[in-house]
Amino acid sequence: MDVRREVEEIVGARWVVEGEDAALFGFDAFTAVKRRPRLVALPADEEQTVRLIALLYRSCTPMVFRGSGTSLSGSTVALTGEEVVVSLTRLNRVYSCEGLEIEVGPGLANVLVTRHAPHDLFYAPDPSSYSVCSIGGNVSHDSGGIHVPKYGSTFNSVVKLRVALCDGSVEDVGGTPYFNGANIFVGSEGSLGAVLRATLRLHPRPETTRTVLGAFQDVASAARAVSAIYEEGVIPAAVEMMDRNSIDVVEKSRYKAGYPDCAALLLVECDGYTPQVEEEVRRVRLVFECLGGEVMVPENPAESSRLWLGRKGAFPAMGVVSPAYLTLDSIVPRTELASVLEEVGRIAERYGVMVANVFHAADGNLHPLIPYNPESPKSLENALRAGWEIVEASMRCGGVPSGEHGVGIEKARFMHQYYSQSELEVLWRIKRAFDPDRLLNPYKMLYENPPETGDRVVSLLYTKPWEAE
Amino acid sequence: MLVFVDWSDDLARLVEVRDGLNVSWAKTEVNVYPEDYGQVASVLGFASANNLSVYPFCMGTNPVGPTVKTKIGLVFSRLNSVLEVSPENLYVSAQSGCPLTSLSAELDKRGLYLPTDYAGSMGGWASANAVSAYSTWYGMPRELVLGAKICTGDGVLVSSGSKTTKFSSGYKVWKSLIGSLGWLGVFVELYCRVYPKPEVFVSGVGDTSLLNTLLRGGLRPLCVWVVFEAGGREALGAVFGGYASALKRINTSLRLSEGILKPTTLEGNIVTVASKKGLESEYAKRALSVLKGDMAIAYVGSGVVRLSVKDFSYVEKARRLLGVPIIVERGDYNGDYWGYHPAVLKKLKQALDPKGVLSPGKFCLEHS
Ligand SMILES: Cc1cc2nc3c(=O)[nH]c(=O)nc-3n(C[C@H](O)[C@H](O)[C@@H](O)COP(=O)(O)OP(=O)(O)OC[C@H]3O[C@@H](n4cnc5c(N)ncnc54)[C@H](O)[C@@H]3O)c2cc1C
Ligand SMILES: Cc1cc2nc3c(=O)[nH]c(=O)nc-3n(C[C@H](O)[C@H](O)[C@H](O)COP(=O)(O)OP(=O)(O)OC[C@H]3O[C@@H](n4cnc5c(N)ncnc54)[C@H](O)[C@@H]3O)c2cc1C
Repeated sequence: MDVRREVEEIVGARWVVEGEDAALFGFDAFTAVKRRPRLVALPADEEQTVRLIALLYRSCTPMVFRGSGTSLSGSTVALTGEEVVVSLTRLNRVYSCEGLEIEVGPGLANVLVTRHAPHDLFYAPDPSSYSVCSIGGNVSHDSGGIHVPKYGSTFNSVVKLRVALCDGSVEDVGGTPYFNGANIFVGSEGSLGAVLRATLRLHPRPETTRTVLGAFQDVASAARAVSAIYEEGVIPAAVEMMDRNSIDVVEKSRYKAGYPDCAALLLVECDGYTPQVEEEVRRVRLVFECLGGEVMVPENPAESSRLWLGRKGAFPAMGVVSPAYLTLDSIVPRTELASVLEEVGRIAERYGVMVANVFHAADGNLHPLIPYNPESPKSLENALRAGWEIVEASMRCGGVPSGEHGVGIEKARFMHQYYSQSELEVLWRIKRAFDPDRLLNPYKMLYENPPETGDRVVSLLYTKPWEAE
Repeated sequence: MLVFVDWSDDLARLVEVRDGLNVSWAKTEVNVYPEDYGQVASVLGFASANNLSVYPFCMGTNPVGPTVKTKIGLVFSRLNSVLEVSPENLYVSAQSGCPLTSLSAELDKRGLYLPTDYAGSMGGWASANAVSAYSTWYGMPRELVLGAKICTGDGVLVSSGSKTTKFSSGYKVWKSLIGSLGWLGVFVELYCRVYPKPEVFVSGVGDTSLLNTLLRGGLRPLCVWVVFEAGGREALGAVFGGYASALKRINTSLRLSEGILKPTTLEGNIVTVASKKGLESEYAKRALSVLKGDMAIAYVGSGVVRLSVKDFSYVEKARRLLGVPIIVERGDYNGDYWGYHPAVLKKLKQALDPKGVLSPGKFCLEHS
């Protein structure tokens, strides 16, 4: 059977990409690994997608579902080169919006969900990549963002999903108070089926939103302030931390925000009923002052936006120090932040790398940005190893390898460290129940033997920690 | 008196065995009382190896769906400790048999709370994904349970999720167990998100014309529920939580009168309607009329409406007319309790309880 011809029959010749052009679909925001897929197909609608998946499965062709390709864990890379990339970006319709629910295609960019919502409602999960990343990708990584502390991650906003399974069947799951088949798909990294449609929960816009900035002369006080805010009864909408390195980077970039010179700053957002927000702001201010922080409360929305733009631009701002960087996302209990950050400092020193920390502090979700020279394999390996040590340090203090970016290929090696063999076997049982031939996003999240690609970086990524020299 | 059956001697070597249960909501030949997680795993491993059916339960306050009849009742009442309360990290870990009342008392001492108003055990609460008035703002156990230690139907203990606020490190097995009524696996330990207890709770009662303001006005009530009675009476209850100084005028500004609207739960034959979120009141009114119910509670924002009904004669009609999942939650029904049968659940059952020993008949796959 000529798979290519049949794919073309389903999606139309115009929507099949191969050769050099296909290489553009061979990597995502984890730029350390780039592999050219066998073929890329861009179905127009649900029906084409379902037929395409069934065809590929029948013909034993491995496939990778892809949204906007902003995964930071390399979870869309066609590792073996045999994979067909099924890009779902054309499934970007808004089907309905009723009550607090909006039903959208997986290819819709996150930012467009709120734009299509009634003016008094908004979609809360907002990864910093929100202007481009897709809902399908958000669901498949259970993406977080700045507003998780109050509104939860993508999981909390997923009401229902329409999924395409490998046998060509389509199911509507979720939206039920008891048995809920949608839960297993959130965070499953495209390894169980394709998300064809998502019904998402919208939240009422708050009456008032206020920002408070706290600048601290030591990281430990900033970290302590994060827990202290909650002890005051405040449930902040967002608490982000930036260390000196990340502040310096932002201030040198076009995202310059005029941040004060300090060892660490906290950006807090409080939102809700106006008198409640006013009291929360007063208390956050007090907490910061008591811990030696210098406080800034912007008086107008433009000033707040400027402060947040600096935070949101912190990743791209890394471009001023290096053309490439790794972003890890291990997560630790809030109380461990200070000690883990200290450890991150020691690791950076040992490896001779500059690590910039800019992260979701209320969630304890670290984002060490580790620059490397993409022309130098040694520099990349050094950065990878420093990153692994950070993940291991996080796990030692009760954390987990990924809080929001997913396992992908970047953290596949940690699955064997984080889970016991019998636990992994249960995860495999789930995988096999949905994908008996292991054709859906192979080698991502779960693997038994490393893929044979001949690529040194891939071999490094798939070396189990205890097998390393 | 203990009923001896051929396999119970072997079982008694693993765990304490006692008389079974013979009540309206479950019938078991023997009950077992594990004292640690290893015993839970051994019981399920033994049951799976010997094809013995198991009904996991604890306090029996919330038997949802059809009555099950099993060989073994797996009772979690001895796994009842609160293990850790972390005010700084805002989580609590507890064994699944821990009564929610003991947990709440423990949390209260530290100025914290788990937003639910139910009694019963932690494991039952999570397994039933029980809605409450607090679901308006905080959601259901689906949103509140951060992670768990679970045991599969064939006795494999698995840690899934964690105490951290987010988790993208592998399949969310524990989340699949939430709401699955012990049919996919059992909880032995749970990690839940908790919140600082607000300085004050302000509750008010009003009429349903306030619904839109409460739901979409940006005021962020913690609870909003509307009670509809068959005679046409309807009333709305709301609860706000926060600082005393901030909330002192909230009721008057909204023209709510002080007081708590009752009830928040129902008795007798109960039907659950999965409505669209934010449209619970509309669905409650329609369901009350189609099902010829006595009373309906719309848990606003949760997507759940619950009704007490005289009988279930109109369930199928309501399913057709309303076009949303309608579940017979409690009572004797000789039809299909669930009305939905996704193949996804069959796949999960195959993966997590391969021998199908857990609560057979609780959720029916034959209709698929
Ligand atoms: C007066 C009162 C009224 C209530 N009203 C409602 C109501 O209207 N709606 C509602 O949703 N809840 C209601 N509840 C909620 C109930 O408290 C919770 O659902 C829950 O805590 C039940 O716990 P249990 O130990 O009694 O569960 P059980 O009744 O023993 O079990 C409930 C379900 O969970 C399963 N289960 C129990 N433990 C486990 C475990 N460890 N692992 C896996 N499965 C398990 C059982 O198989 C069963 O299907 C009410 C409780 C009380 C006391
Ligand atoms: C600058 C920058 C900032 C970021 N900030 C954040 C942040 O704050 N928080 C955060 O959590 N992440 C963040 N990310 C990571 C990334 O944007 C998210 O993981 C996002 O959800 C990926 O969406 P995507 O559409 O790009 O998905 P892709 O990268 O295309 O795919 C991601 C995964 O989802 C699967 N997938 C995609 N669509 C489907 C579908 N329809 N059905 C089944 N599987 C599918 C893929 O197979 C893959 O496993 C950031 C990334 C960048 C580059």
